[in-house]
Amino acid sequence: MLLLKNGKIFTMTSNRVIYGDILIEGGKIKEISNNISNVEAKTIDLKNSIVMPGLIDAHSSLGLIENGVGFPGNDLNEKADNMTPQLRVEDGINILDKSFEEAVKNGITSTLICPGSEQVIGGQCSVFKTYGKSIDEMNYKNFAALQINLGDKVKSSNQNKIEMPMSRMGIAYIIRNLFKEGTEYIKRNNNISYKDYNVKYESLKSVLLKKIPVIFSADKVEDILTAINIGEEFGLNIILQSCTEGYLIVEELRKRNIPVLLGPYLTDYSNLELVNRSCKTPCTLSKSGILTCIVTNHPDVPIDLLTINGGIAVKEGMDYGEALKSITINPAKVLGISDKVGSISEGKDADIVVFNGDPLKVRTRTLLTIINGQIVYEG
Amino acid sequence: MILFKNCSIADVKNGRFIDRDILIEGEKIKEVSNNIDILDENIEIIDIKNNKVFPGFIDGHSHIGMWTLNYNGNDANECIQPMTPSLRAIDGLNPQDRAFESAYKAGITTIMICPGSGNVIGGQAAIIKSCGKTIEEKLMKFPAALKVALGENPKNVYSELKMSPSSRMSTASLLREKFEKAKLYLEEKEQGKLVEYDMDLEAIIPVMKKEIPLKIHSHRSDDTITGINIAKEFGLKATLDHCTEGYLIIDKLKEVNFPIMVGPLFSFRTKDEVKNATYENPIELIRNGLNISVVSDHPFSNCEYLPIYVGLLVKYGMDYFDAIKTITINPAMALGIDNRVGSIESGKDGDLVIFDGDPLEISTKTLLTMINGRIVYRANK
Repeated sequence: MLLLKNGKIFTMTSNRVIYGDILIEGGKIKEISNNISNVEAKTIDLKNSIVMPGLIDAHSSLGLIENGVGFPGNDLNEKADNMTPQLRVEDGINILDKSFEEAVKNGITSTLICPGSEQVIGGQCSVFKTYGKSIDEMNYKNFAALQINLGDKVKSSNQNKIEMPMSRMGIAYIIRNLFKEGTEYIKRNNNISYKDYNVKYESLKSVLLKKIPVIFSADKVEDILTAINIGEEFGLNIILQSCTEGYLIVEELRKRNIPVLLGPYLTDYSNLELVNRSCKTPCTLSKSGILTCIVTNHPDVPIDLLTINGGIAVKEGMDYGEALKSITINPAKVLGISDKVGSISEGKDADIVVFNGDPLKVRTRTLLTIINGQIVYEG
Repeated sequence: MILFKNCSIADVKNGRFIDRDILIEGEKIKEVSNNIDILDENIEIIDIKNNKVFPGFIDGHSHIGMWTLNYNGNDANECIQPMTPSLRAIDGLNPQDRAFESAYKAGITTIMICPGSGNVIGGQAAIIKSCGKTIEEKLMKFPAALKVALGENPKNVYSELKMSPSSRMSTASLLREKFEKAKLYLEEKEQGKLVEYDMDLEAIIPVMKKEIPLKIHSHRSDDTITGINIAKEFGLKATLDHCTEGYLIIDKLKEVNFPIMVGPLFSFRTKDEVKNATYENPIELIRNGLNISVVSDHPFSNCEYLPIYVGLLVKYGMDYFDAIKTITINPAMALGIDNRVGSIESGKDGDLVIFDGDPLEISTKTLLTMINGRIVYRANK
């Protein structure tokens, strides 16, 4: 048992700050109130430091590409095949990579780990806790989303081959084609003989049955609209990632309730797809009621800089509370894990981070990171 | 003339804020003192209301305007032969790249642009100001350094082309050979012997004469030492750029006391030679009294966030004014331009930037940027 005394608690369930104590038992938050006393629990006086739910980066490739290794440590993209819905990130992640430790040190306790951006269908994304002794222990929600990429990166990674897709038309076509074939395959129910067994269609099943969302990485308006169209044709739950030009078509996103994973904002934006990038996008989209998350897309920027991206959004007009939600409860909702993480509530996982100041400021340090009730970092 | 009243000036040399007025005349700072008042209708008076005024920030290692992440956007590397000293960074520069606007809005006024690290000798670097539509308007000093690269990059480029250098030994050997030739070329020229004009060797002469430094790209400590040794053998000036493993060879660095340009700090460790990159490296080096600058290496980290990288160093333990020095007076001294920029003093260039708070914090906004005595950016009131 662990008792955190005298916290200034940003619960993320409401805008109200609570001054009080948190009791943790069995990896869960047992009680939040004023003046809890428990002689058995290890007690830490937080002296009014800011307490937040563990931060969530809703789109990263943590551990799929290793620090300081280059090609041998890069398992982001299975470039030989453009459509690999059967691939699972957990088969490529090195949990000993330094970035996991840096995530924990900076209060990021969960992240959706996704394949890279150079294939059309990259594979299956899973939610991981950032601390643990084995991949199984850390794997929090298997196959939480399917990663699909649109636009220039896919096109250009294919330029050395003579095969589809060489254009945006080709990209849309091969996705539609696979989904159509997948739909036919599912209609046959379980009457699949070994000869017809198709691992790709099998992997698309839960997506086509709307059990799992599809993350479309798209920057330009044309690619965002392609994602929306394909989503509607096949009745998919879609999430838009990067969504650089999303602010130009706010209404299209809002009326369909499409969640967005925005960022990162620290990179150079000379790439043609990013020329219209605006750091005001999180402000614009969240104000219009769109469920907004801010992400690092690690390794685009290292995962430890998640809060700095949030700070940039606030500088450019995003509501402060909304910015904090965009790295806690909003990603939990988007990833379908808000019953367990994303806020400080009784019964939820004890994923908690304590800061010595405003979490979105550059110089704020992490004092304590707790994952599943265990102290995993002390600053 | 422009008169800034009630400034809280960052006195970077002494590590404190002082309350003064600043008078700008033409392109220069004319006077910095208490209570300057001039009765003249033609003078523009701006009340700074005790906001913080910093010398324009300096980014000592950048490819801004030379290298965008577009298809075909790299004009910083001519990787067809490893020794290209006569190439000039300014010939690859697009002075209207929009990154310049972001840079001066963020307070970065002086930038060293250099060729990339694909070649052993990449070419000649230049120092520019971030304002101005043409290269002539931007240019401050050329040539300003000769770019040299050690370690993985040249070796990777040329081993793929089945050429030398394919090993670190070859990189060092090619450098020594070229410098030896340049030394002899210069001697013969000075003795009045007729020499055949050699564009490449001509480009190395200012380095041999110690007029400009070598700009040595290295990450791994052994590569940094190779660079130091070669510079010493030929008696050259040098800056040690990146110097990612500097903390492992502090005694060696102190012995030669070359200025060090650390960065980029914001990027993922993409290759083996940067695997030991940490925020602690520049902190440890500056504690040891070395001249440390923090650089963006734009586009590898976005130069408009240079002050934020420095803010992170303060988070991890660097003294606040030491951190401010890494983007002001330290790079000015390292680049040999501290007579013109790097601090707010009379006689220096009118390069200053005014913030509504601490520039090392994200939420702080730039109120005004002045370059060469001209206001190039002013926030809407």
